Amino acid sequence: MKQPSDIPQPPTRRQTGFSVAGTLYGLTTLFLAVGAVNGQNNLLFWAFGMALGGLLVSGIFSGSGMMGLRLRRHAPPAARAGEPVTIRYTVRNANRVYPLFCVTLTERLPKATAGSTPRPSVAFLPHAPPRRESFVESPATPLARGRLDLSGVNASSSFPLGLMRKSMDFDLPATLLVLPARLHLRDDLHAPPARRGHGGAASPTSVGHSPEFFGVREYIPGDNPRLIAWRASARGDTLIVRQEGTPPPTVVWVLLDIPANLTEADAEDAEPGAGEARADNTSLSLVLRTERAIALAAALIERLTNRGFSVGLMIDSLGIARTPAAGGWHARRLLNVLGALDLTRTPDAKARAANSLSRIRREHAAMIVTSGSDAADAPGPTWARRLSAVDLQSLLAPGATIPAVLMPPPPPETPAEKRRRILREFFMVDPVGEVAMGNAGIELGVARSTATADGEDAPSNGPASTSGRTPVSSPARPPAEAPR
Amino acid sequence: MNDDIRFRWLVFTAAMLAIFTYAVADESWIFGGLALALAVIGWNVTERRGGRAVPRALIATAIVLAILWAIASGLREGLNVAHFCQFTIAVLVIKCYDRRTSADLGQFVMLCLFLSIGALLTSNSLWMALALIPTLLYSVAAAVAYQFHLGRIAARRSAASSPPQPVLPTRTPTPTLPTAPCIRGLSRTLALGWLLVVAVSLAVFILFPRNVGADSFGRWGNAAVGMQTGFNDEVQLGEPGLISTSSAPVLDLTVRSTDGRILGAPEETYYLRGAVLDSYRNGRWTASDSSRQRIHDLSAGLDFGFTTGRAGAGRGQNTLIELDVMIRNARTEGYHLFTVWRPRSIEFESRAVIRYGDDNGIVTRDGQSGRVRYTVVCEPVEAAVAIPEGRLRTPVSHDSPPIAALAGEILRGAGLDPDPATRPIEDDAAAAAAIERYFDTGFEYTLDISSPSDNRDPIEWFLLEEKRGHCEYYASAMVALCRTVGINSRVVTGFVATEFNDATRHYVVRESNAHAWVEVEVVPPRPVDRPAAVGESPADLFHPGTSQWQTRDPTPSGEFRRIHRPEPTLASQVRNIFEAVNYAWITSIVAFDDTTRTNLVSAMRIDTTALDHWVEDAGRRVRHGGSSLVARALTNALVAAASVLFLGLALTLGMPALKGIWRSLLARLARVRGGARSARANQLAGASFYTRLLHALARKGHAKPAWQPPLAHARELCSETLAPPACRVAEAFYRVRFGHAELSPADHAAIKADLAALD
Repeated sequence: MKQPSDIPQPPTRRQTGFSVAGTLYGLTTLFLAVGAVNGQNNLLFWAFGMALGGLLVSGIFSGSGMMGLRLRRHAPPAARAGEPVTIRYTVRNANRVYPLFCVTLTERLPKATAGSTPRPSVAFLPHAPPRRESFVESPATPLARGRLDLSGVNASSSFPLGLMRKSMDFDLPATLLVLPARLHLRDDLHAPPARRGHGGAASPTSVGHSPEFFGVREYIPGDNPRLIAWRASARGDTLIVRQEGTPPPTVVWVLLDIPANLTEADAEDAEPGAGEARADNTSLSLVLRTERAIALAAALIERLTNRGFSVGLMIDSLGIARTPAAGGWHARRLLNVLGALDLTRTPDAKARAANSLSRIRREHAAMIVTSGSDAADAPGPTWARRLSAVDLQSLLAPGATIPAVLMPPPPPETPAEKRRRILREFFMVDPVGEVAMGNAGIELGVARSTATADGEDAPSNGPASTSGRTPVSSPARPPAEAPR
Repeated sequence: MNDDIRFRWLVFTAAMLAIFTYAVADESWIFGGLALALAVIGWNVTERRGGRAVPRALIATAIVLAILWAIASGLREGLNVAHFCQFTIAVLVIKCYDRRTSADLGQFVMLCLFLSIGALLTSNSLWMALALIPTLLYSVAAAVAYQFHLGRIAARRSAASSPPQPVLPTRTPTPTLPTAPCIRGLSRTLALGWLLVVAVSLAVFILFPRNVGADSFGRWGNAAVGMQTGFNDEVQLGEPGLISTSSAPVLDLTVRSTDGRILGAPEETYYLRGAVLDSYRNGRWTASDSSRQRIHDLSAGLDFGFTTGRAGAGRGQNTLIELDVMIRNARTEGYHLFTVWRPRSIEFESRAVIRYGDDNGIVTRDGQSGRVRYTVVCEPVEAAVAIPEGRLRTPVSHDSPPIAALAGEILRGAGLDPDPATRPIEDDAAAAAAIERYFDTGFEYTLDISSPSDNRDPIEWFLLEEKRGHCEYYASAMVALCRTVGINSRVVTGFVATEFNDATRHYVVRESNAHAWVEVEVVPPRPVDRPAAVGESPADLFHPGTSQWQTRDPTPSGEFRRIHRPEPTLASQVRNIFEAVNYAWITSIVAFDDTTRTNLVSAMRIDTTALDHWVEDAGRRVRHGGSSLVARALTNALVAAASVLFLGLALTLGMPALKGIWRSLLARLARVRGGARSARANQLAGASFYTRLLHALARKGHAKPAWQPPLAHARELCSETLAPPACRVAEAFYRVRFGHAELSPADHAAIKADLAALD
């Protein structure tokens, strides 16, 4: 994620408005005034004065405190679809005297990406002392792969009495690349063996401990006597030892067979039965199958890279081809490519026309992941192993499930189900509101304040640096809200 | 206990305190206790772990029943504060059994504040004020804590939408409890906020003018300071039962002389007349319709007083006293005010419609319920008034031969003629005194009395058989006896002021001080101010043609003292201390009037004349403007809103054009400045020969010091070949640099030649 500045930014827009409670409060104040004047009730005069004082205090504390608010967003290191990512904020209270209370930070999502998270990420800062920086985190779960554009943050507070809500908008544009959802594959799911021991490379490229021959050198006291090359040593006057090399990694191509443009292909492949049949005999949409294929490809890349393979990526329909390489950094690069795939735009015709399959040599291994229902129909080398995203469940490890982001949405509530639910809520005894959550004592998205001096950044890693406070263990799962 | 639980208990405590405060204000202990008990049970059942709410159907039914009850009560008794508060309490109790979300908890806080306002409208007593203080503190604390709660809930919901997987190894743990700096900062902020609120409320309380706009919007807003009196303007004899002996104060009396000196003493008693009952039938005393009543409408204008027309009546000068009466809780319609016989003038502090009886001096009031304060100027000993010529006595009778016989016996025993036809009118006073003394022996005072047998006249039964009763029986009996012997008399009910508080120098009149006594009409036995003339009868020694109402109390004095002036005990002394505090609360805060305000403001040297005039003018306009004023105000508001809207639209639509115009103006200005600058820059660029001059001199070993002007340096050059050209070039540079001159091509050529000579 890119961040334009490291300095907490001032707001770009400010708004102040009366809440419903504030309007009611104003009407009540007016009523008190009328009642006091009408009845000449001295205690009502007191009450009217106190109500006016409350309005004054609300305006002063909510406005003055927020004027000094400065905000900075920190980039999380990674994001995967369906997995929570922590968005961290640095809140600086530039006021000299006024502390900040009850500040709610809400990510402003642009409309185009509004559907990628069920609700905006919200963080809550209970207290920010004057001339100090505080840190607050908020978990957010992107529900779709791709680029998530964050436009800014809205900070609001209605402290102390909730009569007025003062909000500020901070323009902090940033882009978060959401990688494909994580899948836990079966252990036996690996690349087919390379052809006849070649592994795709000629010879080892570094010293290692494999039987592969790397070179010879003079014997050094301490070398393993078993490595002594006796015949070579006999030809000369000195002992020669044999050096073993690191076997070159096997090259595996991951070929992703997905439509180039989902908008057109969705219309062509919208027939029932085109995909995996569910219990209700409806089919998976092409979009969902495509995303599953991408996730499967990403999982394969991670698995193969972890096992030491050189992995390359090819998406022929989009003209994408990435040279095989080994290492975690390369795997991340390939995942970024998969995460950045935008299937809503028609790809470049020239790129589509490029024949990438010719880069796959006969000594390379290949795994083809297709979004189609029949993996056999996927284009690619004949020796490649073919996997279909439709059969995703069978490819997962025992006990693993398909992530929710790759599952079709639940069917809408039928009228009969709705009636049953309403009747159940109306006549049955229900748990009391949010008491269950309150009793669990869960606190998430709550800020901590540092004890650092004015202007200094607190350490970004590790437990809270405020002395005298015991770090709390990771929070447990919050119980679900009771239905209203 | 985490923040959520602590917040919920804070809300519950605020709600319970609000219910308790209203119960104190309304003195509805049973209702308040029941509501508290139900609320505590409901809250505890639903708040514990695994607690469950009552099914929604029952909750909805309870709410509907509460609404129906409120509507029915409103239709039956009219809308009043009590109904609203009771409905609010019912809703609070029902919500204690319902499931509660954040919105419900916010509603709790709001209902607490409404209930507090209801308590203020119900009573202004000291107990209510003491109960209101913690209620307000907890309610405001709950409102503040609610903001924190909302933020936590919003963050929790956002987190709940995310799977609870441990996300990143670098994720820092977050605390679940507010930190100490947060609490300290919050406490300081809230303390500062409270100070500001108290300061503003104090300023409003002191500076806001009083007596402006009262009753402009109907009769509401005033509150009581104590319980309503059980005073009844009728006396029904013959019913069994126990008369109330409640010691709850009902009114406060301060007696002053006309020069402002406070009168009163523990042994001094004042009879505060409420109702005059002069018609007896079937055991019931009522007020006859013959008394003339004058109506004084004090709802308009600024004069809240009137005179009774008694000023200067009668002969001689009577000492006048001033009574400052504060009734703690008056009714709205037809409420009897209490004065000492006979009132001369009455001054009120608020608007009302007053009815005054000329004959009996009874004052009734129609106005706001609650606390009522007024000042009465009285003549405690009525001056004699003239009676119509030819009428010696007001003809009265009481149809009861046994009572007449008894009266005759009493008078004969006192050496007086029982026959009114033959008895001198001047003996009426003595006769009345004799009848009054008759009850001192042989009679017993009791508050618990049985009823006479069927069809037996209660007065006869009391006089001839029972000889036990309370003040109403004694008064009734004395009036009956007086009337049978032709003495005009009447029963008066009211209160006796006997409890004098030395600390506050005022009388506390309690419910148990309700009393009944007698007034008899007699010729005042005052000597004339001249000796009897020849031929004048002894009767002429009295004021012929005059009569006077005298107050007589037939209740045995010992019993009177026992009932109304008991021996002080420790409890009564403690009670007196509290009464003193309570009275200080009432007089300084509750009864803070315009006079006190003016004095206080003057003492603080604050000029509120402008504010007073403005408020008074606004009140007058509201009173006279009425609905047309409201309509005009609404129209003005609509026009203003439409104007703002139109202006906003115009700005919104026209803003881009305005911006374009502004930008073009700025660009033009920049061009002009840039052009002028570029011309100047060009000019200076043409003086680059000066740099060449400096270089040439430096090459020749005559570098110019930085501190020296170029022409001065050129003139100091010793070389005859260098100095002249250097001077010419320097002068040319001066012309360009400081003279803003344009060099001609010939000048440039000459300069070039000089520079070549230097090189």
